Amino acid sequence: MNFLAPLFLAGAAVVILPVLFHLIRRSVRRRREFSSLMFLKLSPPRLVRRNRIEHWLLLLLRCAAIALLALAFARPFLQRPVALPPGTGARQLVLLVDRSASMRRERLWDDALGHLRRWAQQAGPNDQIAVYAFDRALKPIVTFNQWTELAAGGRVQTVLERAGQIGPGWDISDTGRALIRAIEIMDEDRGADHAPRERKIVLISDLQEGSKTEALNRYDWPDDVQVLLEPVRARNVNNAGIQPLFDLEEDARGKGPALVRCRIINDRQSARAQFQLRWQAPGTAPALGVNVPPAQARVFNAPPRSQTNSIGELLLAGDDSDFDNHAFFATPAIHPLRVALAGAEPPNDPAGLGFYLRRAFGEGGGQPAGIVPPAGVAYSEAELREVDCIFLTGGAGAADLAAARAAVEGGKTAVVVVKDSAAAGALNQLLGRETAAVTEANISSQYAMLAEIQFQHPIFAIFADPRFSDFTKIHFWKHRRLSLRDENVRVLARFDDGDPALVEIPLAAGRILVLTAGWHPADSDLALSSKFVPLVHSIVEYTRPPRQTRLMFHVGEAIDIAGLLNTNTNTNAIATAGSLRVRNPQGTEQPVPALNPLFTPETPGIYWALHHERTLPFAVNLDPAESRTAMQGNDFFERLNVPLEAGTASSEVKSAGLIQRRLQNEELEGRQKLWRNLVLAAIGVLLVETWLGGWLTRRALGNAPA
Amino acid sequence: MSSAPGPTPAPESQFRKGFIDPQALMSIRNLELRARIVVQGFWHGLHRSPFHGFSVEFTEYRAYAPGDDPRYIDWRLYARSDRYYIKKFEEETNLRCILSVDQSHSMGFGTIGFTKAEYARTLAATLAYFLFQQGDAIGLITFDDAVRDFLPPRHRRGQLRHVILRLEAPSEGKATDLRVPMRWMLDHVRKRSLFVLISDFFAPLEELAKVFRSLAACGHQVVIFHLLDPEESNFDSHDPVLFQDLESRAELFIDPPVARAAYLERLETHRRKLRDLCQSHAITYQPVTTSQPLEVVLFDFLRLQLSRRKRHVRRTRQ
Repeated sequence: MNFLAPLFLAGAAVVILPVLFHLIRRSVRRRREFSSLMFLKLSPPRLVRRNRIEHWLLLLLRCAAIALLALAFARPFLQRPVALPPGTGARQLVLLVDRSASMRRERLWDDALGHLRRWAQQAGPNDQIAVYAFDRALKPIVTFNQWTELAAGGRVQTVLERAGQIGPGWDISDTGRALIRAIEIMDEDRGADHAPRERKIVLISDLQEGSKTEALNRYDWPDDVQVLLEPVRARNVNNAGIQPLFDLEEDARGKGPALVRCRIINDRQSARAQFQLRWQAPGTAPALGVNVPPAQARVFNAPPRSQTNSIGELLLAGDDSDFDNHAFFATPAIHPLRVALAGAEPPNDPAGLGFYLRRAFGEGGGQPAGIVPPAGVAYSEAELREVDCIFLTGGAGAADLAAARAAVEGGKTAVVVVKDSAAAGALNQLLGRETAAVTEANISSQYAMLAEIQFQHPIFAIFADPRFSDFTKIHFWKHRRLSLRDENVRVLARFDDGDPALVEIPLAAGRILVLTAGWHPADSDLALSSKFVPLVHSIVEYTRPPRQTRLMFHVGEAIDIAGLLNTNTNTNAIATAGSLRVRNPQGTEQPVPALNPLFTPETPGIYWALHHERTLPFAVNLDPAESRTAMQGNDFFERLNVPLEAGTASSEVKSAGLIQRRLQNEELEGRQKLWRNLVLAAIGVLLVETWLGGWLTRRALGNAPA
Repeated sequence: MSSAPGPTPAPESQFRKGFIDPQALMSIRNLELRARIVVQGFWHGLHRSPFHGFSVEFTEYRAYAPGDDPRYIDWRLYARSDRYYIKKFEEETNLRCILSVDQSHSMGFGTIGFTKAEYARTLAATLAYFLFQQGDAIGLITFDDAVRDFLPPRHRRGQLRHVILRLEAPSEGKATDLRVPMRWMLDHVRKRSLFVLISDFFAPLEELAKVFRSLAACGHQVVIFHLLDPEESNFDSHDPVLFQDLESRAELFIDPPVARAAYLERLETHRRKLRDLCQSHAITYQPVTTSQPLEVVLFDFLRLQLSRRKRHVRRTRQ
């Protein structure tokens, strides 16, 4: 039997009082007459040796009442017995050793190996033990079968050797998934012929706050598995980590090289706030002093550097642990928009289409030029293959049209602006067949407006927001009516009279976008609208292959190397078998399968994706969660509903286990309510005692001498 | 002429030899007989003592001068001293004595075979017998919380018998009020008298001072016999019992070995208070235990009276 409030059992010592009272009880029968009591005062009773207890039953009843009340106040309960399954009675243990990046601090890994050694040495002859290292996933050191096959004398050595070979890694710690997987392994190993006496998971870890435990939130923990914590504790707790950030848009807006920023995270238990930030490469600017209070994170601009490389390494100094003080950068190359404009219009004619298009792509005013002029009289196919989009504004020559068609068939996009009915010929030449017919539309009112717009199409997606979706202010005085016999035509926008305004015609690998009205003042005031520049940019962006801007990853993250190369090198095709490789920071190359070009880095640093002559650097960093090295708080395991074995947890988590045990005990006692039975028994005893005491008193008075 | 110097009182131990043990005396049922035995025993003891002529100390003497009435020549003294002495104020040596006996319930306590009340009656009867023999007038007051009986002091034939009979009468025995007999005395006895109060004095003493003063102012002489049982004086019992007050019937659990020291201290305080009260009012205080032979008590009483009378004579002569 256990007690919720065992201190009340001390009240049972009060049972000595009835014994004393019985011994010093004064007899009513013994009276003596005296002349006067004026000089006498009441004497306290005293025990003498010859006193004896006369009414044993009464005494026992009184003692029993006191004892029952003391027991009731102590709130007893019967601990639910652990059903010991029949069988050989062997323990089934899984030893989980944390090998995440945070275990690289100080001597944590050595301490973990010490725990491992102790557990391996304490193993009983019938115990079934498996040892696994875990970070993001489980890595076997010694499985159950291997343990059984090993000679008893060599198990400890084998465990230590294999664990030493694995060592701590750089990945995150997913403690939740590791615990669940350990239970699954125990279930798989437990055969039908025997059932272990107890099942236990020994978790050897630094129990950092950054470890992942979400998997346990929805997990139904089995009743017969307990977790025993063996925490390893760092002596120096001042730790700050660095996480790289960079801003691509800054560079795209032409503000110079990509702005490199970083986030510095200072741990909760850290006592330091001053750190230094500098570039790893020699000859860079002096270190930058930064201030980050404990338990907070700050974003800082990296110190300036003379060379604007797309890769680099930032170093953080000033804390006790170096493992998370390196931030590797790899910024993608920025490709400006390149547009070809083929047409017979004078370039600076404000009545022409090209005048506005040049300004929309930044020609003039000091902006990088987006319009790529032909090297010769007309564009060549090769030139057009290098641009993102081809605008045909009318009057383009046959050579331009031929080159454009070839480029479109190769995957490019051509935008044809139908200014007049003569544009049908250019269109047919592009299409390679006589399918288009163009007539001048008759606008009944003063102007036409865009009415049916496909906002879900990527070209108009940027205008989908209700704040930007109003095109009624753009007036079209003229437009052409286009008829196409091609069933593949997709109308992206119509005028309010129902005529198509923008159509998309796929052609081989590319496409042709046809605008049935120009943006010049003769046709409309579109060029003067605030929507003109984003519209033409959107058309060009639509025609470009998708670019992957991200070149920074975390350790353990699967990276599509082929996709990385394609999007960042503006190519569409890769890879024959064996041609794709990755070079790690140590300089070693390893092949990546073409069919499944996923690569998982295991260490932080600058990697290189290689394909023939193309190379692409990408950076791999530590997960920022590993920088949260403070040990878990007291409610950690309580929140996870993970049953801890009593008496073995560390002082920080021991109270969590104690709290949980106390709650369990309170719940058990609340269900059993044994105190009520004890109180009832005490009341019954007191009733009997009262009756017996009265009967004895009456009998004594009846026998007393007159 | 000064009175003849009195002999030094013999040690009590010399007197005790041959005296009757009080327990044996109390076994005599007749009170007058008891008194007679005590007085005779007293005289007998006195004659055995080396001090003779004790009785002559009870009179005033002066040398015979020509012209004195020869009827007052003390011939016994002449026989012893061969000189003529005249008994002076002999008629003034005849006392008027009122014996006041406490008959309250507390006097009914006794542990040596008889109660304090029996002893007090015997003592009163003895004094009455002795004084009556000496020619003194005797009277009686019996009281508890009120005067129960009163005999005015007389020296007539049959007065002693009346006193004895009144003493032998059974008493109700109630609570004690010590002022009662003295107030009665003040109200009913005009002539200067000897007031002898025999009581255990188990009552508050606060009101006695006023009455004592009144008695002294009226010229009365007061002698107090503070009578206690040996158990009351020593508190020697051992068993813890429920003590019951004889007068109030109140009960109290007492463990004698535990309570003895405090009891004796309080009793001694009470005695001292009473003694001081008597001393401050020129009252003769005589503590008596019921285990004491009455002859000795009588002897001490007479001795104290003699020494008091000497002091009085000395003052009147100056």
